[in-house]
Amino acid sequence: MIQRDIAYRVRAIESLSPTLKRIVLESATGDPLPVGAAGAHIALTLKCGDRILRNSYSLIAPSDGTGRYELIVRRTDPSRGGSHFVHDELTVGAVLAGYVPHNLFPSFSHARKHLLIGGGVGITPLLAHLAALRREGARVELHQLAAAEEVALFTQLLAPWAGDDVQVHGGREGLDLEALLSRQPLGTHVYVCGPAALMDRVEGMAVALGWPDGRIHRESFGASGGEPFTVRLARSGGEVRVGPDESMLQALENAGVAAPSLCRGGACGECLTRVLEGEPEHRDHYLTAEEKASGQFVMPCVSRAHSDMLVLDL
Amino acid sequence: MIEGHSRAIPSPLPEETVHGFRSASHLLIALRRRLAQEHMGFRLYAAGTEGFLWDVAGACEAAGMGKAEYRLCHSGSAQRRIFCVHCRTMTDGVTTNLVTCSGCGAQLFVRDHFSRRLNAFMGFQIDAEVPGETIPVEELYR
Amino acid sequence: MTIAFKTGESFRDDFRYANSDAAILRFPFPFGEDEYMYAVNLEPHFAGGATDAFDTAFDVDEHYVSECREREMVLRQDPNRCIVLPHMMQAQWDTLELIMESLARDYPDHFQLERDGRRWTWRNRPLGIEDRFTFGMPDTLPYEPFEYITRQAQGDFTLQDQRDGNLYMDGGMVTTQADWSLEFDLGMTFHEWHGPVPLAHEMGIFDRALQYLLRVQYGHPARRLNWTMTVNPRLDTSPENYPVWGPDRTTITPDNVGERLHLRVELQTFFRLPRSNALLFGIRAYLASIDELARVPKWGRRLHRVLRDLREELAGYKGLTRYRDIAVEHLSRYDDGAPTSPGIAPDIRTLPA
Ligand code: FES
Repeated sequence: MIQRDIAYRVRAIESLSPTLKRIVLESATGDPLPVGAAGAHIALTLKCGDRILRNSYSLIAPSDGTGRYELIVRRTDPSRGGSHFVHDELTVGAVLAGYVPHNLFPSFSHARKHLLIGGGVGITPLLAHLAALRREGARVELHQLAAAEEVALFTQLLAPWAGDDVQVHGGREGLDLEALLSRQPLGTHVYVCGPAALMDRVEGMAVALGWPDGRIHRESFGASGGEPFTVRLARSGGEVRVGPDESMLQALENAGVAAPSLCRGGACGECLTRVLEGEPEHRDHYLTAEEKASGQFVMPCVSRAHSDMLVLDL
Repeated sequence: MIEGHSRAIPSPLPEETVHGFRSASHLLIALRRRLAQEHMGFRLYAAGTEGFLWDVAGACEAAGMGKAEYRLCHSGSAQRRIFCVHCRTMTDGVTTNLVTCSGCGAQLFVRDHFSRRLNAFMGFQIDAEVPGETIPVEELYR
Repeated sequence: MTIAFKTGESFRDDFRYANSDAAILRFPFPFGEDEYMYAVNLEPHFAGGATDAFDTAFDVDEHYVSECREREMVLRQDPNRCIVLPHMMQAQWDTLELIMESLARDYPDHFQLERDGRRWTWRNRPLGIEDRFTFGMPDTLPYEPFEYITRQAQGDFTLQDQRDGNLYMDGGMVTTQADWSLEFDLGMTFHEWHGPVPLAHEMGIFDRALQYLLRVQYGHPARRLNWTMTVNPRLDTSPENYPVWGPDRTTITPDNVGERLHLRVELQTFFRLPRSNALLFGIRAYLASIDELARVPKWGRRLHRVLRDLREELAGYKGLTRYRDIAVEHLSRYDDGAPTSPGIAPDIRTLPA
């Protein structure tokens, strides 16, 4: 019932521009791929040299029985390594480990209208949304902001849906955001994906114009991991390193520490552990605000540490 | 987007800020039309009896508004509209903890469970387990 | 896994219903300790658990055929037991796909699904159904997709739309419920539809549970157990039919309590649906008489202790007030005071004769 890891094979790589590549993935095992809805992303494990990176990429097309996931990756400079690996080393036929799609940027079926705003390569999840919403016959409008030299490229990516309600704007000043957000009918949801500055600007403008929070959606891959840290076990002795992509609970379990758990989602209280030293970073819904502020307890199934070291009563 | 001069057609009536209506139903018809023209950022404030307020809320939701976009303030009678969960008939203007269902005739107990969709409180038969086993009638919702 | 279905059972009027020994041993007994209080008892819905009822995504047992017939009867009388709001059509297809794929994978002897692109063939052997339809086209099925597939599944189902940081119950198939009404609760938020539950709000149970459920991911379902008691093996204890089943509560006597009083357990499952991002709740009801359950010595002892010590507010809310003392007195014969092991497992492989 619980499926998490999938082996992907690279089926095709296409160069869209000197800095953008379109990657097509398929199942490496022949098993059908789970549904990849518009807005979903997949995390891929990339082995670049001796470093292991986990990068998340939005799907650019809904995948529903197509047997493939499509991504666009921009070469970033300076890169954390992932985009250089994808651009310079990844080849057709390569097998990558990854997770099933996870959707933190879905569209809302309750909406009367969907307004999509993209900036640069932030267009990727919006391409999937546009395809899905058009197919459903939903009311949708898209505005893409692009550097002058990329207007032609994005216009071409959007060509299948060309029309008055799909527009590419060159340059930062190309779109009158205030006018756009002011004329949207009741029941509109806005979805924005792009550089943080753009997402902040759209969100800030929408809030200032009186849009409620629940109608403003920014692309997010969520924050499941974080900075690595070390746990010292006061009672049993020993230290456990918590990596960037695993939970404290997983790390403890992998190290053979008998740590209680039930929900594994920060709700039930089963994993409550006393903190003797160090500063926890609370991500649970169990502890009260006062308990969190006291720093005396932590829920290892979801929470992490602000300090390099946490000493636990385990 | 509205462009051009359509707004310049002279209106025979002066611009009104207060509209009179013949009834709540009349008001709701006008409200639905009006909401269809409104834009994001619009806020609606309503005051009145519970039944009226949730009719207004229903019109807002139908126009795509969410809870954050309208504010309701109760004033006037606290009478309840009761949905008989057995026969599905509504009984209006209920002020007591028990009421006879206008559909099936059951003695209904008025619960504090309210449905915004139905704009009604739930009523269930008070003596379903033992016929005649009931509680004293009290006036609670005037 | 081949299941011998009991086809002649009834959940009303003459009440022809009993659990086989195997069904008793696989019962999802809900009490992990000798006392009961609300807790956020959510956990990942992994395959496997203390009894076989947890082995698959959607458990199918010997009562499957009879329960589907009972649902059909309820719907004929009251079509509003299945309502889905129009904006949930994607979630309907998501549900159909999830249930069909799960049943075909977990019970291949009984259910088969063939997919040829969007043209699907579904075979449900226990119910004698074979349908060809086009996925995504409602007109190719005899009912809307959610109703179509939940007529062929045990337990109730509700569809929650996720928006504004909340869950809205925007659809459901509810014919085997513990005294709540879909028609009345439709469209409510998580806290609104749980409004009538005592104590749990103050304890913050619903706040925490909601935060957890909002984060349930595709491919990572969750589950929990809930319970109440029902006189007679009656599945439809709806508010709609309270005048029909309410009088049952007065019929319990020391002589009949062991076979008439049933523990009703809900195995609740929570699935993120991929296309709609909606959350599907499965609310699967299991019924066993207290004498059936007491054939497992640990469960007999524990049931006695839980009922005896249950907080008054909870007993009232669960409707136990009229017969609780009789039940406790009856169950005391199974409780020798011996300690019980933690957890819900029966701790035996066969039932004592
Ligand atoms: S396991 Fe439930 S809060 Fe950590």
